[in-house]
Order: sequence, then C-alpha cells, then structure tokens
Amino acid sequence: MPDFQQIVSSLRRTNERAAVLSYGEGAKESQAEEDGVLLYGGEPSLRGDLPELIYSARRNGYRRIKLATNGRFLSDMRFLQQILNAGCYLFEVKMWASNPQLHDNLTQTPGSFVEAMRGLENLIKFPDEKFVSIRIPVCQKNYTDIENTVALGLSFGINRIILSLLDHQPTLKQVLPHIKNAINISIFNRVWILTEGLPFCAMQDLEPHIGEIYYGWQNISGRKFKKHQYCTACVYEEICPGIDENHLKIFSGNEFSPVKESRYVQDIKVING
Amino acid sequence: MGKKRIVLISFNWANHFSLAMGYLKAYAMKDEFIRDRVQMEILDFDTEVLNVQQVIYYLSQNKPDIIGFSCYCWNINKVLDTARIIKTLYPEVKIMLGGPEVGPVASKYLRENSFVDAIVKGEGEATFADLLNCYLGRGSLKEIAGISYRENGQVFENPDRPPIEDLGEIPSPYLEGILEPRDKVTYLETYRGCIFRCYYCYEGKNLPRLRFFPEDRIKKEIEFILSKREITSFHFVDTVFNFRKERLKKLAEIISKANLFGTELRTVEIIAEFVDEVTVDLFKKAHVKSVETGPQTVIRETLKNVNRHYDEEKFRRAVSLMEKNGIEVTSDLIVGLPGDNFFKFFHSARTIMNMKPTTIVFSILHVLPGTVLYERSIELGLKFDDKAPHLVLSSPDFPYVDIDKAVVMAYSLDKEYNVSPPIR
Repeated sequence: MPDFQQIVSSLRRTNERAAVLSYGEGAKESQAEEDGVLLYGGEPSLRGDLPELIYSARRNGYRRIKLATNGRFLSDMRFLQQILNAGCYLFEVKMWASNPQLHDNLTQTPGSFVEAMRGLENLIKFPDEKFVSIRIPVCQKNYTDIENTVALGLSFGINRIILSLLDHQPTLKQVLPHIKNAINISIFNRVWILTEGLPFCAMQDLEPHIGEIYYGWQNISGRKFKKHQYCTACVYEEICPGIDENHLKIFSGNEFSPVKESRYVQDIKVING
Repeated sequence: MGKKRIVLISFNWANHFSLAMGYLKAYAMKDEFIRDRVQMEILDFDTEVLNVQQVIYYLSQNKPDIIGFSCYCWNINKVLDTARIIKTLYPEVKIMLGGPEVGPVASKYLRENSFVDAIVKGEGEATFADLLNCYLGRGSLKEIAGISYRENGQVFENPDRPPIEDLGEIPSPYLEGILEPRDKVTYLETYRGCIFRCYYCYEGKNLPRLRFFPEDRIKKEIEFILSKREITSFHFVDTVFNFRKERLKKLAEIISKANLFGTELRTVEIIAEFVDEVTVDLFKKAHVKSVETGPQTVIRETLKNVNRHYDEEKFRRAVSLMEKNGIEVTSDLIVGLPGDNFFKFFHSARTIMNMKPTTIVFSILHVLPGTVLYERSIELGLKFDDKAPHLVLSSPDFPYVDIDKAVVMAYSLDKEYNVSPPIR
C-alpha cells in the first residue's frame, strides 16, 4: 500500500482552499494542505492503486478526498464501490458537451460520453451521502452548447457546476451570453455555479460566481494572466491578476474595459487578504 | 357525564416529540378539578411523514372537545390547515394555539383565522390550565392573563402573564409518566431563559431572567432516563449548557454517577468561548459527544447589529480543543443577518471552515415574531416574508438576489463540507 503521508510530504504545501495532489500524465503541479485532498491528473482513476491510496489518505486523517475524473471509470459499479468503500465521497466529473458526438469529438475517445454519463448515473444511484460537481471546459467547439450541458448535468442531481474557460478562440462577446445563461439556469435550479478563467471585468455584477475569488488565481490548469494597460483604471486592479495571456495575444484586450465601480469590491479585497 | 377529551397536537421534525406538551399536561393535571373532568392525550405527528388528511382522520375517529396545537414557524401551516378543517367539520370543538410562532402576534392570528378560539401567549403551563378551567365552567376568558381570544366574533387581548416564578411548580412529565423517554429524542430542561439577548432569537428576550428547575428534580429526571438501557443518547434543551462552571460540574457528576449504560449526551447548545480544558473534562465526564454552537457570523458590524457575543480566538481554540478531545462540534451560520452581504457571509463560512468543526449548519435568517429583529425590521431596513417561516428577503446591504445566491452557495458548501463517510 502506498504511504500517502510520505507522498504528501514530498509535495509542495500551499494555502489553497483544497489540498491538491497530482498523479499521472499531464500533471503540472502538486499541492497539499492538512484536511482535504484533490486527486487529479491526468486521470487518477487510471492508477490501479487508487482505492488503496484513498484509504491511506483517510487513515492519515484527510477528511475530504475529492476525485477529479473524466467519469468513465465510474461507469464500472465495482470500481465505484471500491472508491466509496475506501473513503472518497467527493467527485468532480468532467463534461464536455450535452451529446455524444461533440463530447467524444472533444475527448477524442469514442464512447466516452456514454461512459461518463453512466458514471454520473451510478454515482446518483449509490445511496451513500456524497458531493458531486461537474466541470465543463469551455472552448471554441462547445461554447454554444454550455446551456444544454449545464441542463444535462443538473438532471443528475449534482451539487455544483464549474465553467472553466479552456481556450480563447471564441471571443468574450461570443462566450459570455452563454455563460450568463448557464449561470441563470443553474441558479434557477438551486445549484451553485462558478466560472474559471474569466476576470472581473468580464463578470461585472456576476462576481459571486468567479471561482478564483474563493480558491485563488493560482490554479491547476496553469493558466497565465497578464495586465492590460486599461487595468490601472479598474477598481479590481489590486487583486486581479489581469487577462488570460493567450486571450490578450489574440485579441489585444480590446474586449475588456476597466470596472469603474462595484458594490462587491471592498469585501472581495478583504477575502483575498 | 363523561370526561372531556383534550388532544394536544405537535407536528415535529424527524421523529422528535414535544417536551412542551408534556409540561402542559403535567401542570394541568395537578389540578384536581381538571383531572376529574378531562382525558388528555398528547399526539406527536411527524410533519414529514403524516399529512393533514391522516391527522384529520385520526381526530374524526376520536372526536376531541378541545384541541391545543403547539405552533412553530416550521409547522404553523399544517396546524392552520388541520384546525380549519376540524372547525369546519366540528364547529363545537375549541381550537387553542400556543407557542413562539403565535404568542407574540396572537391578535393577528386570531383576526386572520376565524376558526381559532384562543391563543396562549408566552409561557403556557399556568395559562393553559386556566383556559381548561374556563372551558370546564370555572372562570371567564376575560380574567385569564396571557391569552388572546375570540368571543362573539370579536378578538380580545388580555394582559400578559408573568412567567412562573418557581419552576418546581411544573411537575416533570417524565417522572409523572406523561412522556416516555425515547432513544435519541429525549430532552431535559434545567433552566429557562438565556444569559444572552441575541436579536434574532426568541428565547432570551421574552424570559427576562433565568429560572432554574430544582436540583433534586433534575437529578431524578437524569437518573430516570439513564436507568433505561435503550436510551443511547439524550439532550438538554438549555440555551447555554455550559454557562456556569459550578453548575456544569454538578450536572456532570450527576450524569456520570447515573450513567449505567454509557448513554451519550448529544447536541447540547454551548457558548464555545466559555470552553476551556476544565470544561472539556466536565463534558467528557458528562458523556458529551457533540455540541452545537454559533457564531452565526464572524463579521464585527453584523455581530453588533444582532447583539451577539463572539471572540474569534477563544472560539477557534475551543473548537480545536473539543475536536481534539473527541467531542464533535457543530457550528451554526446564518445567511441574511443585517449588516452582512454576500461576501461577508462567505468570509464567515470560510473562517469557520478553517476552524474545522465536525459539521457546519447553514441556515437562512428567520425574522421571528417576538424577536428584536422582527420589532426593529423597519428601522433596520429588513424585508422578510411575514408568513411563516418568516424568511428574510433583503436588507440594505444584502439585496434579494445576493441573499438567494448566498443560500444556493450555502447548499453547496454544506454538502461539500459536511459529507461524511457512512459507518460500514
């Protein structure tokens, strides 16, 4: 059995909201704190010793162990049972689209949509108390499908949605109406929804949904931000890292304008220390 | 002539039962005149399981002469539905209401609900006994302090009744055999009132000073409950279980000596800031397994607005101390307090999550009748639904849209933070 504590000790500790451990291909950085763990990758469910690792984490006193997954392995009831038995009750499942064609096209894996949906169904079927969130990466190919994807996710009785801006091919003018609709659909259905990768100026009046306010702008996706010349005139200048570097390269920041006033700004500054 | 049938009804959550109804019966049945003339039954209905039709069916089979309902913000709608249908079917049945939902606004409830005959305001034992006497032909309604009532279609409000000076006058419903202790839902009360005056709470304001049940009676009740092997845990309903160390020490000793079967004491309300190593030792001696505490918010301005005491460092230390000693801590937070806003609420949530209590309970502010917030709502700019459960709608710094979002966020945080593995 892997010694979880040993693995954790070798990782960089931070003050992140959730402790983060990374495994497998594609992992960029690893972070941990004392009472929660996020297992992500790559795809952590590819690890054959995942149940043992979870069990070891629990034995070492970690109360909340969250598995970030593409959901495909959860379609195997026996595997899911093992994960639950080991002590993992928090799940973050990636959903790329509301239909198999688009989802499988984006994952480059035929059948992945059906498996991920079956995984979500299995999660809901299990009577054990659990927390299930879905992460929707938003890109050029799927941004017009965000609302449908959110609606599909909601049908599984999930507890949170994260809309994560993945690339900057679509303009903000194209993406934002869909993001705003998705937020409305989710809140209407009483499910909390957050965004990632969208700065304050893109989310005016929707600040409560900016995920980075709660868990920081340092993130596992390795997104890089850069200030625009307009940023100096923004009320969020002190706490905002700026605009996604790639977006700035492509669109020169023409889509952004500084926030002149916001009823949230003082309190967000307090939260962001 | 047969005895009059009195039915006391309480709609409760999650298989709980009403201690208040036990007190009413215990006190009323002390009176020989009443005892000789009535047959009194307490009915506890689970508000989730039983619907109004089932309750009506039961009552139609048992035909009471008087029905008393225990009214809280969470059950008043079922109470009114039941009472209205019963009065329509059996107009001669007297409908009496009591409890914190109706007492402070009794005349309003009488005016709005023509099927209600009388409402008991404030502490109910003595007033209820007087009402029974009156319906049995002794005394008149206008002489009973602490009620509002209807007569010839008109609503009258009598002066309030002072609380019972000596709580020893109220017999123990357990020792009298009126309430049977039940596992996990047996409540004891050692005093009434609260040392605090939080503006969102009904408890302290309307009972101006602390009154204690006699020590020997508390001891007997504890010994009685702990003599039952089937009771694996019980509770105290005292507002602050740990408010005086000497008192806590006595209670811990009584419980410790009487605890033959390792019965646990669960979910006692405490003030965390009063907890130190000595308190924790006393908790352990009393078999306290879980406690519930505030702080409702950590925002200084908001705390001031609701007259709530909070010392962050003492609170943090206490949570850590209790958790390290195996005592589960439940910490309560309220969405929508005056002075809070969306991110201030989140700041409170994050501060408390970082303290790592076992559980965090998120609830939305209920602007309850009889509380200071209810009375000062206009001055504070608080908008709330005047219909039970009186949920807050907005305040000057916390518009409706943000309160609603904070509630949705709280559902999510609640699920994420409180999820716990089942016992396998």
